[in-house]
Amino acid sequence: MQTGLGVCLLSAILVVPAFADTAPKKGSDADEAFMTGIRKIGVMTGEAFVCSPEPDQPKVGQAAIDLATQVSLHFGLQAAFVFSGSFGYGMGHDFDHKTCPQALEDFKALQAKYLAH
Amino acid sequence: MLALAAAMVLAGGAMAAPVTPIGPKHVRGSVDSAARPDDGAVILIQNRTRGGGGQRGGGAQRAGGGRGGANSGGFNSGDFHRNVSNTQTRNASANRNVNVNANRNVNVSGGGGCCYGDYNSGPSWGGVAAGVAVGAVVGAAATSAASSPTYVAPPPTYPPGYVSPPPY
Repeated sequence: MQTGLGVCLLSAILVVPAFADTAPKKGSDADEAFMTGIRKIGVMTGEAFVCSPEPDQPKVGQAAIDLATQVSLHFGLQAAFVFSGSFGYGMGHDFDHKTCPQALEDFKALQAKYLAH
Repeated sequence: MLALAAAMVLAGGAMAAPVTPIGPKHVRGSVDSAARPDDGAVILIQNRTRGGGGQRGGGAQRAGGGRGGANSGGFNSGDFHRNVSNTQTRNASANRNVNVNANRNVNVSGGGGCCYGDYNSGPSWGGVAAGVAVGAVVGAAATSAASSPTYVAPPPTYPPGYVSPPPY
């Protein structure tokens, strides 16, 4: 009886870790809401780059690099990769420039909140 | 016997974590030779079910040599994650019955800078290809959409012939 109980206990201990690693981690590339948000922020940053006056564009670009660095440090290279690609997409695609004030405002808020240190 | 099982359970936590050899044999060989059981190092080879998030964490200590941006000290990752993850639902709930073309002028930046729901999410597959290639294709693909408030989707992948397929 005791032997059977011990075997069951050991089996449970050995089997549980095999199932524990399947849930997506928060902020990981399997977190789809987060990755969608990363893409949106990347597109927004790219649009803010285009909307900025030419002398200010290097600052926006550097801020995008800094943000990509923070994303890579905290959420991994894949999230940073997606952010960077979306930044390029935001820069390159055609969009309604009437939204520029909004994009610049959102970018400044993002910069103030996460890059002001 | 039960006492023996319990002792093994407790002792197992203090001993080296079980490492399942995953990967090519030559890689396993180098891992085995690099890690000694008495130096306290634990090598984890994680499963990469969704594209390799397992690389996270190690890089955080390696990127400190560049510009000041590599310093992660003041970055509130929890708050960032919360805000970034909230970008999807805001417009959907407020404008369900409204023409989506009108949503672009809705101010969603209120409430502490949270949420960027009215921005395009870009290419659904992650999109560096779009970031790189869009300069070449946007002139042709986006012209008809210049007056449209909706965004133009980038090409779903590299055009055929743009890169050669991998040899496997």
